[in-house]
Formats: sequence, C-alpha cells, structure tokens
Amino acid sequence: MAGGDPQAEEGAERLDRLIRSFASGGYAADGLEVEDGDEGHHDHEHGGHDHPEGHGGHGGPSVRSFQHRGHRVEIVTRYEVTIDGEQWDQHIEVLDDGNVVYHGLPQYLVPSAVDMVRAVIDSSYEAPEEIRAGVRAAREEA
Amino acid sequence: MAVIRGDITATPHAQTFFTGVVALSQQPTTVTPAQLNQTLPAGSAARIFATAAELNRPLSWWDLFCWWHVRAMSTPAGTGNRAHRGPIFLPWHRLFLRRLEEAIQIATNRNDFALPYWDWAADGELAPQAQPNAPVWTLIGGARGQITQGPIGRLRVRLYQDNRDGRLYATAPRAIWRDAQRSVTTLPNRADQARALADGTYDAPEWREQRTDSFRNKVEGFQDPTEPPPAQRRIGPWMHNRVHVWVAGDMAPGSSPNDPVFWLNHCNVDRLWETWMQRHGRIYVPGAGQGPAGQRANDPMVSIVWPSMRPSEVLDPTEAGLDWYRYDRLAT
Repeated sequence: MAGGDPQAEEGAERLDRLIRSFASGGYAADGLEVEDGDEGHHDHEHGGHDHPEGHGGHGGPSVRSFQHRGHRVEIVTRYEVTIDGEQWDQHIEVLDDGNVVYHGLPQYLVPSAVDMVRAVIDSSYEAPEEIRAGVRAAREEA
Repeated sequence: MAVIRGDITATPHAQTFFTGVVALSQQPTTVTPAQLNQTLPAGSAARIFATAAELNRPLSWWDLFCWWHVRAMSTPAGTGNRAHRGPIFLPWHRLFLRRLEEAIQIATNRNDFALPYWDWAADGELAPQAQPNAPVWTLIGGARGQITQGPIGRLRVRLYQDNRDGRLYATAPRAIWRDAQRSVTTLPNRADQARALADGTYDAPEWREQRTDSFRNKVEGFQDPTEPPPAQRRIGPWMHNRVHVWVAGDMAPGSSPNDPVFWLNHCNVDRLWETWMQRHGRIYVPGAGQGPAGQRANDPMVSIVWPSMRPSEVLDPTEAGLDWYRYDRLAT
C-alpha cells in the first residue's frame, strides 16, 4: 500500500471505510446472539456444555458418565500439573476414549496428558525468545 | 464474478497472495486492543493482554483477522465453540476465508484474486523426511524456524495465545515461526482424504468429537477416517487438525491465522467440503430447532467488520446471490 500509488490509496480508503463502519458499531462482533433452541444452550461467554471456554484455567475435572449393563458410571479426572516447579492450572479435558484435548491447542487430540503438556512446552515455553520477551513484558506490566 | 481458486504450487494468484498478506500486516487499522477489550465480558478468552503502549497501538488488518478467529472460538456453542468442534466448523471457516479473499482483493486492487489452497494430501504421499521439503515450503519460507526470508519474510504479527496461562497477548510486531514435525511426522494422505469424502453423513448427534461418525468430524480431524475403524487404534489427530499439529509453531495455538499456511490449509479443507457437497448434495445439519445452539443452519455466525451470515447462506459459493468462487480441481 505504498504512498503515491492511486490504486493502492483507493484500496486503503476502501479498507478504511470498512473499519469506520466497524467503529460506528462500537467494534462489537455480529452474530453473537442465538435464539434458544430445543437443546437449550444460550450463547454464554463461559461454560458452553462441558467444554470450558474461558482462559482454559480452573475448568474443574473432566466427568465421563455412561451406562453399562444397567449400571451408571461416572469417571472424574482432575490433573495437577507443574512445569519447572510452577503450577500450570489450565484445563485438560478427557474424552470418552481416553484421548485428551486442551482449549489452548485446539487441534491437538493426543493419547495422554503427558503428550499434551509436552505440546504446551513445545508451543509456548520453547517459542522463540522474541515472542517470549513480548509476553513477559505484558505479564510484568500487568 | 466468481474467482477460481487453485493449488498454491501452480496458481497465478500465489504471488498476489503473498503481496496481499504482507500488505494487510503492514496496513494499520484504527482499532486498538483496548477498544476490542471494551466489547468483551470479563473473563473472555478473546481479551488481549499487553503493555499500555501495545494496548493502545492500532492492530493491522492481519491481526484483526487473527483476533476474529479467537473471538469466535472463545464463544461457546451448544457443543464446542462457534467455529470448531461441531457442524459449524466448515461454514464458519468458509465465511472467514471469503472475507480475507475480499480484503486481499481490495488491498492489491486485484478483483480476480482467489485464495490458493495447499493440497496437503499430495504431500502426505511423500516419505516423512521429504514432507518438510515439498514445493509449498520453498514458496512460503520454510517449514521450520522464524520466517524472515522469502515472499512473506516481511510479514509481521502481534497477537499470540500463550499457553503458559492460556491468555491472548499483543506484543511488538514479530515474524511468524514454524516447528514442523515436532509432534507428528506425517501429513494426512490420499487414502485418509478418500475415506473422509466417502462418508455420506455431513454430521450427526451428538455433534461432537468422540460421539459422532460423520464427514465433518473426519475432515475436522477428531475422528480417524478409516472405515471400518481399525482394530489397532491409530494415534491422531487427523486431516485438518493434523496439518495444524504437523506445522506447529504459530499454527498450534488459537492465534493460528497468524501463519498464511492457516489459510492454505483451510482453503483446502473448504475444497474438500465443496467436493463432498458435489458428491453428496448441498446438505447442512442441524436444521432449525435441532442440534447445538450456535451451530444450526439458520443461526448467525460470529463476524467482525462485515455483517454476520448463516450457514444456510454459504452452502453454494457459486450461486448467483454470492458468486464468490469455484475450485480449479476438486479432490478425489
């Protein structure tokens, strides 16, 4: 979008118009509200069904429940994870077949919490220093 | 005019894609993280944490697309969220892709521009050690390390979901990074793709990862596409999810639209959906009054900048009302 290029300037102006429209609506997302349905779930910011959607922390245990030959079963799983001696308080969810998922790595479906925590370390603790320095600055100022 | 989407390794639009990506990352908006935060309820995972200076520095267009993704996935639905882990996965990303395509058309003044796709199942046929050296990586800056060279070497991003605490941060502009094959060594292959496409059920109750046998669940990647299920359970994830995990780095967290590969991956997923619909019909479930709230055919999809649309409105990208795009070649 170099300055002085009439076509580029026209493109920039068209993009600016879209942003001005977004600003006039107070930067609010559209389509958040959903009419209640037969399955009865409103669009809350927290706790959709049994998948916590906040920051991923403090999600509580995973509860798997089922019937087997007339017996009602509940399996409650809660992880306590420390990394380098510090508590890592994000929620790892156990699925019916024992695989686990974690909101912060939404595409990972792995066989155990061990695999998931390894992926967390790979993706964040071992991210390039440029990223970690930026996050550290924000965290320290907050 | 419907544009023609083609393979990144062959389409004449590849260079425009790179130019557009860099242009959008260098094109500031007037929207700051602080302003976006004011629209959120306390505790939302879309809240941006940053130093005071970064909170008040306007985001680029590229960053705004990244935030849109986080905004949708931090909004719960009856199952999963408003962009993933349920039937909404395909239509929501179709809308998301189309808006980026339009933004690049505007930024590059090329109304014929069409997003490219990455046919990753073709690369999945290569030996594992050859997969990070496939032609796509020569084009887009390598499969490992920080990307500071090549046609997207000047791409700079600011948002990052950090999984030390799960928060979304805004930092100073930085290059993206990739960490290919860290967790899985192989991409999905042609057999996986063929098996997913053969499933004639779009989606079904209970609409979620471990309890649904469907095309959507297979192509999103929570279900092994092998039919019948193999006696020896294979380790996932599969299809779309596996591509994210294979690339890793910036492709791993919820801020994954930072990496242009996100768009190449999803454009290919959209091509698979288009292939499936031409084979099995333009069918979307759940309909009104059924299934999880926020994922039904006539529920609005989460959108920023542009007005929302409904899944039922995006099922045919070639129909007269949309006239968005078509693919040069469907999948097999």
